[in-house]
Order: sequence, then C-alpha cells, then structure tokens
Amino acid sequence: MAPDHSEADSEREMRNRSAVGAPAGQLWLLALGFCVWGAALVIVYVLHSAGCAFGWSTDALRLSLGLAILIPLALIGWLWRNYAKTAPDPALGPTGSFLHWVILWTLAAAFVTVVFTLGPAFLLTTCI
Amino acid sequence: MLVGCTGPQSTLDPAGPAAASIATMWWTMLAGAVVLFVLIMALLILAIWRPGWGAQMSPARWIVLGGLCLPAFVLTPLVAYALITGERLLPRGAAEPLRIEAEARQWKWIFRYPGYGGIKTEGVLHLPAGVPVDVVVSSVDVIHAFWIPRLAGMIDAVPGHANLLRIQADGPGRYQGICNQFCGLGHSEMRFDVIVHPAAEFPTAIAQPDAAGKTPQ
Amino acid sequence: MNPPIEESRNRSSALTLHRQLEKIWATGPGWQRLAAVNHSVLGVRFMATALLFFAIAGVLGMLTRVQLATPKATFMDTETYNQVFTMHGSMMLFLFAIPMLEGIAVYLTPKMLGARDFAFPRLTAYGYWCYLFGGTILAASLVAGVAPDGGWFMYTPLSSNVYTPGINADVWLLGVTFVEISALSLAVEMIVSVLKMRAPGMSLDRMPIFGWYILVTALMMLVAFPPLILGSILLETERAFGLPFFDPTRGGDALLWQHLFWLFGHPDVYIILLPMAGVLSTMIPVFAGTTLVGYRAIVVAIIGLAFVSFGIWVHHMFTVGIPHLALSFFSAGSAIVAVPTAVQLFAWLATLAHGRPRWSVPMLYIFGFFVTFVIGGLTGVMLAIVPFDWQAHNTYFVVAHFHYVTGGVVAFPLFAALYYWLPLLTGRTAVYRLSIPAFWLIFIGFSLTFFLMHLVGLLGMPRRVNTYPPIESWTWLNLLSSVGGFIMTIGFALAVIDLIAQLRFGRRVRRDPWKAATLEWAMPIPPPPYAFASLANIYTRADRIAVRELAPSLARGEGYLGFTRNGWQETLGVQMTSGAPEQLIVLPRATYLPLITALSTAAAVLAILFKFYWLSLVMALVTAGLFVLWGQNAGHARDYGPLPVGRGLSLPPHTEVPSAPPWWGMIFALVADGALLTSLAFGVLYLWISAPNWPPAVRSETNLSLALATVAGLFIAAAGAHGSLRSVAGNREPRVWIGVAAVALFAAIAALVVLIANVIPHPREHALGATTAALLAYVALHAGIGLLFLLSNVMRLAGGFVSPRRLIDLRLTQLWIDYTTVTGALAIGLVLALPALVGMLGMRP
Repeated sequence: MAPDHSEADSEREMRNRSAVGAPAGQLWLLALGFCVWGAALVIVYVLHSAGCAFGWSTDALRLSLGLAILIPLALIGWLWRNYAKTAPDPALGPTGSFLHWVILWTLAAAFVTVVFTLGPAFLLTTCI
Repeated sequence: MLVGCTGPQSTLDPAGPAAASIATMWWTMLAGAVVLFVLIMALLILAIWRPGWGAQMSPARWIVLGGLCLPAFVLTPLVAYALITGERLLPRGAAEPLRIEAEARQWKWIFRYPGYGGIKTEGVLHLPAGVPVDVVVSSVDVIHAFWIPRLAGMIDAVPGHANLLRIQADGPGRYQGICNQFCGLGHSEMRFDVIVHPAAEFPTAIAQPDAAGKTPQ
Repeated sequence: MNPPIEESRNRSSALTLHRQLEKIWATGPGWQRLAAVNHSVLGVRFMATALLFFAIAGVLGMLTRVQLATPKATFMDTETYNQVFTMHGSMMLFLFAIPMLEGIAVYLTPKMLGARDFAFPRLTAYGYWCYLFGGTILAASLVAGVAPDGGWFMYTPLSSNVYTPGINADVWLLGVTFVEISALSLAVEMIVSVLKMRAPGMSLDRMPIFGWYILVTALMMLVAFPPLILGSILLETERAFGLPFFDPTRGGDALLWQHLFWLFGHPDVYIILLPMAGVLSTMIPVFAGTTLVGYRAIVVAIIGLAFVSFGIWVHHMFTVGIPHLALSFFSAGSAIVAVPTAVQLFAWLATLAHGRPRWSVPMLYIFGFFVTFVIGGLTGVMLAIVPFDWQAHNTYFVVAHFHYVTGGVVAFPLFAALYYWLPLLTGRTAVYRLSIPAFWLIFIGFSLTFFLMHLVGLLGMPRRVNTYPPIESWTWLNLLSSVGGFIMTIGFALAVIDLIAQLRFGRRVRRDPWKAATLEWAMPIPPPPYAFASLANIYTRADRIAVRELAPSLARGEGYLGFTRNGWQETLGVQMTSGAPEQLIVLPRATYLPLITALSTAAAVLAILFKFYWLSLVMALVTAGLFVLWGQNAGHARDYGPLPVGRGLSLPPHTEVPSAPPWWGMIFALVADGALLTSLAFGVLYLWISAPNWPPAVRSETNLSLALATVAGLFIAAAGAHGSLRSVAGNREPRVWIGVAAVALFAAIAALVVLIANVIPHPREHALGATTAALLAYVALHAGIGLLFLLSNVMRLAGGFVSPRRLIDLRLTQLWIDYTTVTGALAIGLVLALPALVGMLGMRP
C-alpha cells in the first residue's frame, strides 16, 4: 500500500470525523442475549433448589421451571427478530454492518444455548 | 476387554451394573474421540503439507461445517446419552433397597447397618450380591469421598450433608474402596475393603464376630 | 528534489523527534528503574517474573514425579509432598499463567492498537509490584516450610483453622488475594485501553483480533476474580476471627467455598486460554501468508465462550451431591462450550488451508499446540458427561486432561510467541540449532508424561496421593510418566537456553522478520519507550498494515502527535466504536508512588498474616491515603481547550472530556465491585437454602430505624455529590455540598457500626449473623472510601485542578457515592428481609 498523501488523508479524516456521533450503547447489545441466558440459568437453578427444599409438587416445580426457560427464550427470540428487522446504522459505515452481524449471531447463539443447556430440565427427574 | 485394564480399582474392570454402564460409555466416547482426533489432524496435515488443498471450500463453509455442524452432530447425541445414563443411575425405583450408612472421618471409614441392629464395621464394608444398596454417605470432619471404582461412581462425604449413592455388586468377591477427596495427611492410606456375600448369606455374614474388621494395612 | 538531501533531512527529523520523545518517555537509570510506569518495561518484567515462577513450579512438579516414580517411595514425607503439590498448582495458575498473559497483554496491546502506552501507567506498575510481593510471600513460605498444603483449591473444612491450624492456609489466602487484586487492576486498565486508546481510524472492526481477545478476557476477569476474592476474605476472617461461613455446625456450608471458588476457577481457565488463542490468531495468518479467516465468527465465538464459561462451574462439583437435574445444565453447558472453541480451531485450519503455510520454529510449536489441545479438548468433553465424571473425578484422568489443555494452549503457544516476538524485543532472531531438538524433547516428554496419566486414572489412581499401593500397572505407568517428565524438563531447559542464546548470538534483524502486517512491527527494533514516534491513521483492518512503508513514515513524525509539548507524555483517545479521535490523553510520568503503595499494601497483608490486626488496619489506612495522593498530581491545573494534535486536527485534553479514561476505569472497577457484592448476596441466599443448622436458635432482628437512617444518610450523601458537581459546572462554590455529603457519610458509617455491633445472632455463633455483618461491613467500607473521595475532591479544588470544564474528580466521586447508595440500599434491604426468609424455612417438609 502506498503511504498517505495529504488529500486522501483529509478525506479519510472527514470519514473518521463523520462517525463521531456513533452511539457506544450498541456495545451493550453484544452482551444482552447471553445476559438473558445467564439470568435464565440462575433463575432455573434457584427455582429447582427452592422447589426441592420447600417440597413443591413435581407438577408445580416442572411448570415453574418451564416458564423460567420459555420466557427468556421468547425474550431472546423477540430481541433477535426486532434487531434483524432494523438495518445497520449508516452513520457507522462498515463498523455498523460488522456490529449488526455480530449482534445478530450472538443473539442466535444465546438462543441455542438456552435450548441446549436448559432444555433437559423439561425431561429429567426432579430433586434427586 | 483388554488385559491391561484389570486391577483392584480399575473403572474398566466393572463388577457392578453402574460401573459397567459407565465403562461402556467410556469406550463409546473413546471411539468417537479417536475419530475426531484423526479427522482434525488429517485436516491440519493436509492444510500444511498440501497448500491450496482446502482453498476450494470457502472460509465460511469451513467454519460452519467444522465449528457448528460437527459439534452439533457429536454433542447432541452424546449429551442425550449422558443424561439418560445419569437418570438410570439415580437411586429410585419401586423396591425398598437396603440402606447402609458410611461415615467418613480422618482417616477411616465406619459403616453402620441400620436394618441389622447396632452392627458397625470399621474399614470393611459388607454387601449382598446382586441387589441394589443405598449408601448414605456423610463425614464428621472434612470432605472425603466414597468410591468403589469397580462397582459404581463416587459420591462426596460432606460434613452436614447426607449424600445417597446407589451401588450394586454383580456377584460375591472382594473389592477395594478408597477415599477420593484430598483430606489431609492420611488421605493416601484412607481405604476400605469391600466384601460381597451371596445375598442369602448376608445377614449371618455381618453378624459374625470377625466381620467388624480393621482398616487394612 | 535531491533524494539524498531529502532522505538525510528526513532521517535527521526522525532522529530529532526520537531524541525529544526519548527524553520524555524513557525510564531513568539505576534506582529510577523502580519508578518505571512504561508498558514495555513492565511487560517484560511481568513476563520474566512469570517465567521464573514457571521454572520454580516446574521443579515442584518434577519433585512430585520423583516421589511417584515408584510405589511407597520415601523421597518426601507426606506433609512436604502436600506442600509441594499445592504450590505446584497454585504457582502455575496464579503466579505463572495469569501474570504471563498479563505481561503479553501489557507489552503487546498498546503497540498492536497503535497507542503509546496503557491508560493507567501507574496502575500497571502497582499491579506488577503487588504480583511480585504476593508471589514472594508464597515462594518464601515454601522455603520456610509453611507453604499451603490443602491443594490449590483449598477446600473447606480442611483449610479451616480447625484442620489446618498453621499459617499455611493464610499464606495462600492472603498471597493469592494480593496477586488477584493486581490482576483486577490490570483488567480494568486493559478494558479501558482497548476501548479508548487505539490509533485514530481503528474502529472496532478494524482492531486486530488480539484486541478483541484481550477486551473479552479482561471483562471476564472483572467478573471472575471477585468471587474468589470474596471467598478468600470470608475464609480468612473465619480463620482469624472465628466466623462460621464454611462451618456446618454453625450454619455455614463447606460447599459455599466450592461454589465461590469455581465461579472463579472455571472462567479462570478460559481467561488463561483466550489471550493465548489471541496470540495464535495473530501468528497463524502470518505463517500462512494470508489474513485471518473468520474475524467476525471469532468475535461471536469469544463472546459466547466468555459468557458460557460462567455458567458451567458446577462441573467441578458433579460428585458433591447436587441433584442430577441441576447437574444437567452444567453438563450440557460444558459440552456446548466446545462449539466456540471449535469455531476458532476451524477458523485457524481454514486460514492455513487458504494460505501457503511456511515452516518456522513458531509453527512447530503451533503444531504441538494443535495435537495437544485437541486431545485435551476431547477429554474435557468426556469429563462434561456426568456419569463418566462420577468415575473419573479426582483421578489422574483429570490431571491428564488439564495438563493437556494448559500445556496445549498455554505452554506451546507461549514458546511459539516467545520465538515470534523476541526479535521485536531484542532485534535478533534464533539460529535454530537448539530450537528443533528442544521442541521435540518437550513434545515427546510432555506426551509421555501426561498421556499415560489418562490410563492410570481410569485404572483408579486418585490424585493428590503421595504414594500408592504396588499395583503392577500403576507402577510402570507412573515410572514412565516420571521418565517423560525428565525428558520434558530437559526440553524446556534447552528451549530456555536457546532463547537466551538468541539474545547474544542471534542473527540481527532490522525490521519485520516475519513479514507480519500488525502495528507492533511498525516501529524501531527494539521498541523505544514511546513505541510510536507519531500515531498512525488507520483505514484498513489492522492486521493488513503495510509495515515497511508505515514505519519510516511514523518515525518521521508524519502521523498524529509527531512532536513533543510541555514535556508531556501524550497519546490519543478515540471514540469506542468508530475509532474517531476524540481526546488528547496526557499520561503520568515515572514515579515511585506505585512501589511505595505496593509496599504499604504488602505490609497490611503481612500484618494480617502474622496476626497483628491493628497494625494491618493502620497500614490499610496508609495505603488508602497513598491512593488519595496518587490522585493529586494527575490531570491539569488549568483549562486548555482544544490543542493541536497533528495533521490539522485539534482535540481537547482528556481532563476536559466527558468520556475520559478515568471515568471508564471507575465504571469497570464498579462492575468488579458489583460482582463481589453479588457473590456475597449469593452466598447469603445459598446458606439460607442449603446449609445445615438453619434456622438459627436465636431469632434475628435488625434495628429498623438505624437501617433506614443509614439508607437516608447515603441518599443525602449522593445528593451532596450531585450538588457539588452541579455547583462547579455552574461556577458556584461546591464545598457546602461536599460538606453535606461528608457529614451524611459519617452518620451512615456510625449507624452501620452500631448495627454491626448489635447483629443477632452473634456473627461467631451462626452464619446468619456473620453474613449480615459482612453485608453491613461492605456498605460501611464503601461509605468510608466515599469519604476519601470527598477529601481528595477538597484537595484538588484547592490545587486548582477542578473547573467547569475539568469535572472528572467530582464525577468520579458522584459515581462512587451513587454506587454506594444503590448497593447500600440493596444490601440493607436484604438484611431487613432475612428474618422473613428465615421464617419461611419453617415451611420445609
């Protein structure tokens, strides 16, 4: 690659500066899907411990576990659908497309993780 | 099985149904692991020694096939197999199994047989053959672990908790049990003998005066 | 244009610039080396110290192999053996692995990101000294014969003072906590630096993948280390003051320690793995002669890996008696965590397949990594399977697994990295006579030592035994393992000799020996203390840099900041996502303060170790005072407004910008702090539901008025902090507001002290009391630190460091007090709710 020349330089300068207003808040979206998974894991683990300790009926326990899994799953699914419908922020240029792709795939990965790690709770024997 | 796999504490020389199903699981996983290892090494060697060989397949396809499809294809049945096996090993079922209490302390094991009066043995565990036995494991001091490798998996002896482990021996014989959680200076020596009697003879066997036993040398 | 004159003019301008920058950035000679805050100096120190501990820990490992080579050996008695194996593990993990990757991160990250240094240079130095002192305490204990002897994970109750009465366990708890605090401070710094201090134009998608790895690793450290720090504090107070957190007879639970430990311990291994994977992602494309394939996929993979690694800690506890359904989440999670690893593995394979791989010594070690790590990963998936783990847990199968993964992803890539980057550090490349035999000895020795351990573990040999019965198969397997260990040791020794020989006899290299395309090669070799004479403008992905053209251009000052000003150490801060230049960052120069503060911290730690608790409290206050002192000379005593930074751009200094590094540093520090509180709250609730001997005999009660008064005091203090900020922003006098905040905090602390003194049940009698006291103490400590912030604010106001444009001091105080108020309300709320929760226990069947 040829070293910088001043006109091309200032053009790139402008490109950089036009992106100054970009929201850093997008970065939290990178974490959101898996945070929902983490919360689901904690809630399910706590519900099972509490349910077994307090002697809930198997049906009540299974129902609460099921809700604790399905609600986060629906939430991640909704987040994914919502975000997939929006286009990458044009002000961010290629960085925007990159973030958009990464956020979508991270949400999808979180969805699959909920299914794979918490799905067994629907089928296994409780409390022993 | 391979002769080299026998031994007094060998998990690959099972003498009970739990250990047997886990050993089968091990051999299955070993076969799968060998296949996967050979596959990945072959890909690596081809990529290094035959430049351009893998270039026809797009990078995205490499990653999706190898990073997503392959693990999904391997891990899903594996985890299903694992959880089904785990369920089968749980202490549940219609019949009321024999309960024995195993108390761990630094550095010996004391076994009590509640169904048989105040009988207590030290360093020796007596079991009936061919019937499930629920061992209630606890500790009076630090964490130990109760393990008879040829019969079943291990369970920790945690002070303040009583953990339940279901074990079953196929037939009469002598087996080795150990403490498998580091518990201080005497950890390496903290072992116990397991004597399995024909089920019919069990009540008389543990009533014998020499059944009490001592920690083996 | 006469080329020779042009060139010599360029060379002389580069030389002048170099001299000016060198004068400002270089660390002084002699004793002044102790005041170094420069990332290159400190990075090398971290790595060299880590390698030293690696050698010591390796020798300890070999001692165990000598003992285990034959059954019933009497080489070491049991107590010595227990200290040796505990220290082998503890040193390898806490004093080698983490610090080594910190050293690599500290040395390489600013260079790869195109910055001149890290965000908080004094903190880097403090982190190093804390590591050195903590490591010295641990190593000294070995020599003194009082080394920790309870295993590297120190399970309770064995490690309580009932069963380990000597100071061995205290050495571990205090030494490791000391080192972990250093690691946490570095983690905060790495995050802020990666997010804010990159070369202009380096948006997140142009950042070299190594930057993503370090960012994710550091974020993991923020959340993973606090549970261990909390657990260590709880266990140390249990040992020192008789509190019952882990004592089942008084409402504690031995398993609480395990949960807290492994909440740290499992992410820890991925914290160790990720930077090395980053190193591999950087080297493999170079030796394939192409760019890394799958950049975006790798970013998703490492984000997924980071999160999932926090959800699988119970796989270390499959045998403690947790119900199978609960275990299933962790089993499935431990299996699925192989997916992001596989994504990276196949990205590397694809990169090799799409390039033209060439041979080199680093590639040899990378080959060693592939073979070893894949085996380790496969056995890891096996151990994720619960029934199998019930037969393999605590046997040599596990020992084989974790040596395969750590050997695979740490040792082999580390040596690859050393061969790859030493030419940058030293200006010489290896001659390779010794390198190849050294590698093969390591590889063959390693494989012999650890492969056989899979088998002996399946044959039932448990870990942590100093001897074993003369079972024939175990005997020859152990003997061969030990022989392998010696071969491996010889190999490592040869490799180290080879690397040292490279320093003296290696072939000189001027630039870019590997035809790499990342920024660390766009500077003179060895790198000057300022790294870049001027900062690059980045418009491609930063692993596609034309190093040979860029380096001389930057040296001539054609980038940003190609000049010096006021003797300042300057670099640029950028907008997090886009990389647009945003602020001029002026960094602190060399100072002895970090060393002095680390010594003071060490004094506090040693005082606790030797049970001089009042002295420890005094030294802790001194340390706090020293930190206040740190804040005094930072920043500027006047407003500057935008300053020229080169290439026609002007930017305000970081003191006058809302998004400055200290602001983000505080935010991330509070994330770690919050993780600590969350762990404590988890601990309380865990004991409530799982520990034996609940409910306590005595009904618990808390004085409601005092509790509410505390919360009110905290809210008033927060209002005071907000008020002081608004005052200064509006050019009014803030000291009244500061005074109000200080009085409110004093009142809150007084109320908390009374509450703690009257906790029922007594903290020594039952864990309910102890955990209540811990929650209240947490709030009190934070309120106390709030007072220090206010004190610092007053001093800074007097010094003229605060103005309507320079608000960072007051904003940091406001952030801290807000955090204290919110967490204080939550913690006190939990304390008030506890009696009701305890009452519910009556409903258990």
